[in-house]
Amino acid sequence: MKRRELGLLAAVLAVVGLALALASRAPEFKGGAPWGWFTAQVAAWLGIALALRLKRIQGDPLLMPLACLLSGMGWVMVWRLNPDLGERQAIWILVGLLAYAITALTIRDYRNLEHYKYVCLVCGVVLQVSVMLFGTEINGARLWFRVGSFQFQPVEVVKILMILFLAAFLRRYGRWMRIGLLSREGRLPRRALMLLGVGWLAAEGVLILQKDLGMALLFMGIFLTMFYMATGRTDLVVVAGFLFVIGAVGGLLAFPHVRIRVYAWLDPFADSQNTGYQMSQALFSLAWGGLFGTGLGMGEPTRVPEAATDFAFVALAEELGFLGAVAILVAFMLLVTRAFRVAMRARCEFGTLLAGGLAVLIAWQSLILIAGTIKLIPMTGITLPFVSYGGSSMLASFVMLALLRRISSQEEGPC
Amino acid sequence: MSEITLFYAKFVLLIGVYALLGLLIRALIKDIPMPSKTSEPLASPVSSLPSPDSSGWWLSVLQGQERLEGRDLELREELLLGRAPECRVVVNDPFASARHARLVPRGAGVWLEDLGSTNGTFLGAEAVQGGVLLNEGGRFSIGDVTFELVRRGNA
Repeated sequence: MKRRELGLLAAVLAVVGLALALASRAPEFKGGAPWGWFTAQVAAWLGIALALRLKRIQGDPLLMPLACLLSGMGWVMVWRLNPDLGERQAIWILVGLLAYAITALTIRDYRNLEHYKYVCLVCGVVLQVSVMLFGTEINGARLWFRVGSFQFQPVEVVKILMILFLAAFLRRYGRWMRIGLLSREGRLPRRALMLLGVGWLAAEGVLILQKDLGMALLFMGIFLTMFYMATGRTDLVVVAGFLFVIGAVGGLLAFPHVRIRVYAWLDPFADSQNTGYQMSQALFSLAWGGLFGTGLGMGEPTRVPEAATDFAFVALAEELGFLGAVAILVAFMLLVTRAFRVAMRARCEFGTLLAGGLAVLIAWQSLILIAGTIKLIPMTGITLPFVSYGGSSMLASFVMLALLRRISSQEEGPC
Repeated sequence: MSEITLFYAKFVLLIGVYALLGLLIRALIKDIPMPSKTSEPLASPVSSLPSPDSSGWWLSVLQGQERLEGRDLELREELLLGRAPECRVVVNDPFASARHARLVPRGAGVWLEDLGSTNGTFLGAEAVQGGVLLNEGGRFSIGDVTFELVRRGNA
């Protein structure tokens, strides 16, 4: 089982090395390929896999190789687009791996996390409110804390805290919400449901006020899917879905910045030099890539604004082609499949809901972002887990991976 | 490198990426026959075979757990229900606590006591508060598993 993990990791790292060698042909690559950073990553991945094996922390052997493939290809692309960002991304991957190792090694029993559900809730609310009050404003949205030259986006941590809270809360009350809410016995579930509903609306309201529309959509997706997983109530999910549609239409009418996004999505070429510029460039970039791509380092993905963060998938699609883009999608699909498998095999319901929530998070986040970059839905500014540039997102992704690993390693134990 | 090698290099990379996905999918397929890890739910099934002349109370599982269904258990003394392996009846339900409830036969009825379980023991839709005396045909549920008390023999 474990031998397979190391072997797969080595194979993945070999392909990433090949990609790096090819990408080094790009004109942006001044001073040759960053083999030093690459070696550091190889050492970190293999070292941590080996350390977990020596510590006898079993677990799903495919999680790490899949994350390594995504983060490796993402890093090569970010470096190819902008070596300065690439260097930071390498640091963030190493920090993320450290966080992964620490989380996987220190959490003795993930079920203890259930006791901290209200701590998670309070931490999440405090982080989100404080960034509203004291955060730094970038591109008209106040979502970041700035420390020196590094920026930190607390919502990336908040989403994990929210999943922890929801898993614990729904484990406690989800069962009661399954039964009739109108009966006399429905008093407690009604109250829990009301609490949950008010909290959900408040969270959505805060995210929309912060102009973090991608995160609002993502949070909606996670909430409804986890709620459905815990209660199996289609009726309430449909009601909440309707509320979201009403909210979305309301947001469209009320906020000009939402309208700009939607118009840029409906017809990017109507204003292709201004509001539709990014989307038009992304479409040209995708078209230029064709089936096999231009080859790494041979295209011009730097023409797309924000190519390293929001449009990393488009940059990969241009240089690796449709086939490469599909490969990235398949890698995400496999990762989500494995996460759901962890959820299904978890010995207790908290583990099932937690792993399921993390699976849903990865699935929704990658789908919302990729669909946004290829003009299936309006573009929203969230990151692609493991792939696009962003320190907080990278760190959060690795912590999620560690939680999944920990849950899967406890499949055998008692519960 | 010449132009032509550069042109082919991208195919090499794509082939490499897909070979990798193939490896990963093969590893995934190997895992598909999930090993069933359900432990033997009854601690000692031999003693649970109904003997015709025995009298008293029996516990039977109505629904919710296939492995327990149809295997009635005689209540000779106090009996512990829960998810922990030391329980006489191991309830494999996500809503069962380690030591969930206990049954004590008391001549005319059976005393059902909830041992402070997280999700409760239910009589229909009502949660058992502390303990309750059940008569013949009394039904209660832990998680999605429903039990029924049956009286057999000529006692």
